[in-house]
Amino acid sequence: MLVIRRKAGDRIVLGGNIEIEVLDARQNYVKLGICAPDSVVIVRKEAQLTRESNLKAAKTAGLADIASLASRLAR
Amino acid sequence: MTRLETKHLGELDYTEDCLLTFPSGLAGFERHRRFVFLTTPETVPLVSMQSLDDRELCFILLPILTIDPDYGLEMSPDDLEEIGLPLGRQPRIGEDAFCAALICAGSGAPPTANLLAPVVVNLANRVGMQVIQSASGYSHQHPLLTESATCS
Repeated sequence: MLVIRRKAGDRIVLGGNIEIEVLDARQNYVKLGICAPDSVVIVRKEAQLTRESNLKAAKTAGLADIASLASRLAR
Repeated sequence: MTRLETKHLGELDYTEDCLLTFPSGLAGFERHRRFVFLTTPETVPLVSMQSLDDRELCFILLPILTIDPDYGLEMSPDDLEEIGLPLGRQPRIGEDAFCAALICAGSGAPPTANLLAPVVVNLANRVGMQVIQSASGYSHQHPLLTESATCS
């Protein structure tokens, strides 16, 4: 992982056309401004994890597997 | 009574007061807004969350306090407003709101629960949403069975 130290007001550029500016930096959070082409999807990491996890959860096995899990949980 | 086709339990009848509304759907399933919860004696304590719009869409949930009795649900004012919960305080699980984790099971992998983004339903109006707990540190793939249970 590349680690760069930046202050509020500083910017970095990704891939020549995505620009990220540190708008504010406090002890507990940073506020980022992102300029990117419309084709670039920007989501919070936890939202992406949730989406992926939901897609996986929707493929959860059949009733027999669910009943088997239920009986293991009940132990 | 209205007839419902389910993924696991065939055709069932339900009444309108069982209907749950998710105005924003779930992440990745934003168009699915109407669900019912189903339970069977064989699958307690698991709860099936069956879509009314797609027979093949059925999530499996586990009430969150079953997994972690000290689970801390933190909803933003926007979240509280979205499902009509009282503003200014966190909902009490089991009194104001039902709160459960989505389960990933099957396909050979150990079952996990998504504690990062539980499903929360306001018990007063049966409106629900998936609450992404950004600052919580909870895992989206919390292992459900302990080592000793999986080896037994």
